[in-house]
Amino acid sequence: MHNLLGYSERSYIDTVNGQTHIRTAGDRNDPAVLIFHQSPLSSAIYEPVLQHLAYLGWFVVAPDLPGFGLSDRPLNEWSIADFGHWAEDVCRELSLDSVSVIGQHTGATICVEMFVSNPDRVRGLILQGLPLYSDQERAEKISTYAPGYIRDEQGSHLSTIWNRIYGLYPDISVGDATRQVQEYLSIGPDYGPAYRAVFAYRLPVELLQGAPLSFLHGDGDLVERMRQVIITAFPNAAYETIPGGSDFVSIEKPEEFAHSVNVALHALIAKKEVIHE
Amino acid sequence: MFNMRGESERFYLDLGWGQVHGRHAGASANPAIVFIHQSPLSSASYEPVIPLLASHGKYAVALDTPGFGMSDAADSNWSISDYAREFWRAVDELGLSKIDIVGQHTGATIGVEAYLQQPARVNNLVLQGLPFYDAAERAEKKRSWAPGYTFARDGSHLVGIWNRVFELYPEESLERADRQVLEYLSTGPDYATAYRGVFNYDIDVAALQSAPICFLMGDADLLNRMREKIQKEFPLAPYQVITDTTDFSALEKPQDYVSLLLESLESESA
Repeated sequence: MHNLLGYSERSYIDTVNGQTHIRTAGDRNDPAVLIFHQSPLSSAIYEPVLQHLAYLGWFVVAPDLPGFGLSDRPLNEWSIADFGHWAEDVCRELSLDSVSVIGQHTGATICVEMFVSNPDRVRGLILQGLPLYSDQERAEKISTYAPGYIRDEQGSHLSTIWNRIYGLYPDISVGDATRQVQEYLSIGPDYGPAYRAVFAYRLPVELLQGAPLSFLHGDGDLVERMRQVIITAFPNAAYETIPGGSDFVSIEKPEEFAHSVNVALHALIAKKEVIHE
Repeated sequence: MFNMRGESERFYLDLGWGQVHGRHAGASANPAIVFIHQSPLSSASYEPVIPLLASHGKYAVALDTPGFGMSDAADSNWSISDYAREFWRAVDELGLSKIDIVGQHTGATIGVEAYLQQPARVNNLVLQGLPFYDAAERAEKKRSWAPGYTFARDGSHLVGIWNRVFELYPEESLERADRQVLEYLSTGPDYATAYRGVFNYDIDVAALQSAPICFLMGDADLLNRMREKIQKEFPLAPYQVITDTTDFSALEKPQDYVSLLLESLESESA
């Protein structure tokens, strides 16, 4: 996937923050799933799974987070709570009263915030790598993790971006890395605003106990290193990894990923309904 | 303007074979101006002038040509005639009947063909640099102009694009060069699809003699070098330049661009 196009339907919706670029697939009458991508990329990383999820009976919506991809950028620095309000607005614009949500890293944090602020709306959460940092890690990351790039006449910032991508993902394909360069260029030299929001956000673990959530990601996902921390914090949540998948399991193994999402969501929704009966 | 985004409203049209992305501003009942950008870039080249034209009572629209920006690619290598036919389908989708067309380079060629296909719907045809090559030049350009790039693990394709942008436009700003890199990457390793259409297209000068054509471009537009040839072949068409601007006059001097464009449209209509 070397660019931001694909086979799903792309469109814009008007939200609190100007235009939000989304890709959708499936029948609008089917149960809805929202997918929130990781920083500093875009909804394009879910492009290959959207049709599979649609085929499995879901109406799938993957927005570009504000400031990323083709979505308008916030005028000031947003907190995760702001991203949560925006996600609520996306639901309102699309008339989705009840949704399941999938989110990766930054996107997982937004899913959590959505659930915490409006639990009735969320039927199930699939967290594809939850960045459950300690307070100390958050403090360190906020100043070091996303240093940004500076444009120069030699174009060395392009190499900086390229090297960062391969530093994080040594095995990524050249086409996918080239797409990520587009995503980095699209957000601009300071690609850190949503990272900073994540690092400033203390995950309300206590409010998530009993939430209809499960963990699902590639076994090579960067956040898999937190496995023990996650399992300890959420002893009752299912935790599944897809062998051979990296952060980009949705591109590498779209059919498998969609199948696991489908199974996990049905289980979460069934469980939530039992509890509510 | 921020990369591909700005003050205008972005939208998609569904043309059956795929989606066409565009940006617009102004009430659609106002007199419409539709922009067709140069290869291998996107409608973002016109971003700042779109809201400005809207504030002058126009409905301004810029479309990403199929295969560029966020528009889906055509199924195969389209001819200029195919691009022009689908341009009209997009205009139909927008619900516009008569329009002004502004086209730059590849976009000028598509504009010329669009005029020839449906002359009654074109109030004015503004050519922002017409690639008016002879047959030998076209053959040579087809061979050498847009060699494409190859994805490389060392990222040398990025450097290659960067160098190309600055070879063509030594004075380009770093921010705009970044946007161009984004546009080159978006269309992909073979960014020559629409260039080939241009190099295969023989401009029918005779059929254009009665067309409502005017020329308007930056004085340093790469195709202003053809001025003499153009003025000889189109002696009746007004020819204006925007001082101290390049191919990107709409980005460099949006106010001047809009004033001269509106002036050209008024004098032509008169």
